[in-house]
Amino acid sequence: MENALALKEKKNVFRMKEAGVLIALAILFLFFCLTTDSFLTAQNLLNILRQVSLLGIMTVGMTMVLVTGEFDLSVGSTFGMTGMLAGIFMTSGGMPVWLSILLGIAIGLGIGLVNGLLVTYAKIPSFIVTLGMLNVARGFALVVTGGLVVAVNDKTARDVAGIESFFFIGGGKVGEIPVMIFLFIAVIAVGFFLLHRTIIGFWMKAVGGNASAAKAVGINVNLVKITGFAILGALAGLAGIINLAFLTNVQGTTGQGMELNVIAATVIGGTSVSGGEGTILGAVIGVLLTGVLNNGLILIGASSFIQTICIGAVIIGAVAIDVWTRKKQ
Amino acid sequence: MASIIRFEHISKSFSGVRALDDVSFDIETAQVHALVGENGAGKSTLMNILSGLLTQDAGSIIYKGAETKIGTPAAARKHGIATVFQELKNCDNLTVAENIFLGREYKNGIRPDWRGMNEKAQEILDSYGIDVDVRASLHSLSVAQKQIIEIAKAIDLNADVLILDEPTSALTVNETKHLFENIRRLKEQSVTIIFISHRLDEIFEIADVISVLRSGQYLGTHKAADVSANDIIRMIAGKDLMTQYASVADRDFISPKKVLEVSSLSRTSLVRDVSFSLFEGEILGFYGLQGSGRTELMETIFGTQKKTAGSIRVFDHDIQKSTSRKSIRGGLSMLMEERKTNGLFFNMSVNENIAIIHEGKISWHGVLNKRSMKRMASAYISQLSIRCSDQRQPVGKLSGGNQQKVALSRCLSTEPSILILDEPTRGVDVGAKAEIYEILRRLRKENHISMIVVSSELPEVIMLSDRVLVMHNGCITGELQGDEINEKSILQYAFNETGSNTHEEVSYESDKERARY
Repeated sequence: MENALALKEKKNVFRMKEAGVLIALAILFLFFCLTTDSFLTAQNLLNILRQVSLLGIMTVGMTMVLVTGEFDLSVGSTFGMTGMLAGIFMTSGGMPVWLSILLGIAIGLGIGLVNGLLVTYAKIPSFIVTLGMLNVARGFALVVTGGLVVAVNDKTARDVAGIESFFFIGGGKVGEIPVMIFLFIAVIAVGFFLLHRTIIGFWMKAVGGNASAAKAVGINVNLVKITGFAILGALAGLAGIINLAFLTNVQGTTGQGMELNVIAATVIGGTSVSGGEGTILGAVIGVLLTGVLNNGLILIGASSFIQTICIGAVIIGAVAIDVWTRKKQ
Repeated sequence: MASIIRFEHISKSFSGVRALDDVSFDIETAQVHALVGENGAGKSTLMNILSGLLTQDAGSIIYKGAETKIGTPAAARKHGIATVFQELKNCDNLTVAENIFLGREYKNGIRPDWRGMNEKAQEILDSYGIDVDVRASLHSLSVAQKQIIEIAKAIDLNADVLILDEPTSALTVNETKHLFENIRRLKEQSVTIIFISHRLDEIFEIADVISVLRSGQYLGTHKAADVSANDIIRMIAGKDLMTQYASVADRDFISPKKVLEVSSLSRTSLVRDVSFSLFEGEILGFYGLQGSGRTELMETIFGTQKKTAGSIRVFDHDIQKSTSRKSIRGGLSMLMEERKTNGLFFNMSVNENIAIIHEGKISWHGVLNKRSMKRMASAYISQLSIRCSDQRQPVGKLSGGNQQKVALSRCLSTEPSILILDEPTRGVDVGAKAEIYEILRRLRKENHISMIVVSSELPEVIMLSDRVLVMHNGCITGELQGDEINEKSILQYAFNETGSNTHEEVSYESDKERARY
């Protein structure tokens, strides 16, 4: 009995929803291993991980929002705006670094809350709300700086002691591994726990699957959706601040267009745009796939224009595989 | 008589499961040929092959004497085979006329000839006695009206063969009568009609011959005049079910204590000044035509919709602002009418669907405990004998009967004292129906649950209920007990034959309200 059960579990690994993307990732990985010498080196692989960390942090949040059956286009702007404001708080604002970080994340969370409230209580489609927010937040970031660059360094920042540790978050390493990667892994762990192991994650799946049934069993549908938006907003804020710590300077246009990469990675990971389906594992695989593709294409000398074409084709291909396999079932 | 269609050794499988297994029979010209069988017996698969949506794995179709490969819906239409699907396939955003002529628009050069189409559409509808403005947008119509328009559209294709898949499931008695008149007229014009229905009374009323399918196999064709409903049920189910359908009603279980008392309850114009009581241990039936306000009343009592006046008392507690949460805590539970749209989460597993209501029991400080979820579900899976290959299987993949049992499990998991069941056996096959009746009987006998059963199937209401309340136009128009409960008196109250008939208007309104959710 125990044995039979174990067998069943094993079989399910290959039948997993993520199996398709995972195979695609493996094929790409192999392809770049064979065609280039520099791909399969510890340094390069760590590079890929670091490069996708910020995208990945937001993808975890985006997966949750998509699972509830909603959509968020404003993450790129939130990412840019929070990093910028945190930078201003630290420099001309004269605030301690820790407070600037917290405020930055809180602002991201606030943007998410506003998105959520407008979608649920004002009943405006999330596509429209977040398209509007994309512009509002972007415009705000540009107005605040007057289009100039905000640079954080030990001269501009008041909190000189804090700035050291701030830069450690962005550019530091533990052993050979960039700190950013640890943060990404932490977000994955928390995201996994939230979506797959807690009642709120369970409700997200229910709300995205059938909102009216969720209402009938007494789930506060609006609250669940708002939670999704707020988590994504906070994660976008976190990513924006880490980005500031890494680059040490940001401008009004930072993160422009990033929302599309986040959505692309989420969808490649098998999350359904119509809600109710999606996993953190899928999101991580989706993020890695885009990272490996970008990195590998650079290594084989493809231009950045070609990369864009490839990513686009992968999005369509990934969803096509998803649709076909679903049909077969 | 000549046969227009001959199925020869048709087989079709879906991912290893045989849906049709070597099916051969004839359909004769200008007859109403009923096709019966449980859900999953293969009726729809066979009709989908005939209408070009599916292609058979083996076997052939001889159509008008020649072997014909149909293959696509367009080809079927060209051959003169028209289909009205159970789940309506039309565009809600277009007008009635636009829907009727969709894909074959009249043209003035390159411009569509709206006036011509509107006139022709009105003519078609008038000739079938359908009172609808062809310029009205389809989403303003009731389900029944849409269904009739779909049928009118199929008829206008000048089809030789008309397939009607459960055409009456959303129709009222009157509308069904009208439809049958039209079917008879078509038959006189030598149209062959294939009629799929779960309602045996209708089949015996309209069909000339009846073919039975069971688990993908053809069991035979019989002249409707030569067989009884019992014979057909035996063939469909493979066993004699009528004995299990013995009345559940039993006044011995009822105590004089009132568990639910509704007084002067209103909800806009959908429910008007309704008062009644439910006694402990009683099964109270609610009957009414579509749009009579049955579902709306239950939603208001359960708290998913707001009342506008009146009071609800559950176990001597006045319920002021009721919500579904509060009702559940108060001992109420409700099985929703449309399990697909209001009840179940098709993307989630059997376990999750059953346990979802109990966040307290399946989680610890918000952290899910899948094992306790499984334990909770397992109890009901065995108690209600839910058949699933794996408890983690998505509910959407189960059969209708098992889905309904999952929905019922969730209702029972709150250990209610009062259970409201809205259409407990809709979209459920004959075998599962009997099982559900048996479960209800047991729930009352062993768990002493008082029940309200809302149903649009008269035999069901009659068989289950100790007492029947009949609704019409948002009001209760009649109360029947014991021997008074029979089809004729229930229908009399349902049509409110003493009062004026404003039923159409109401059904219109309630559909509009429903459309908002």
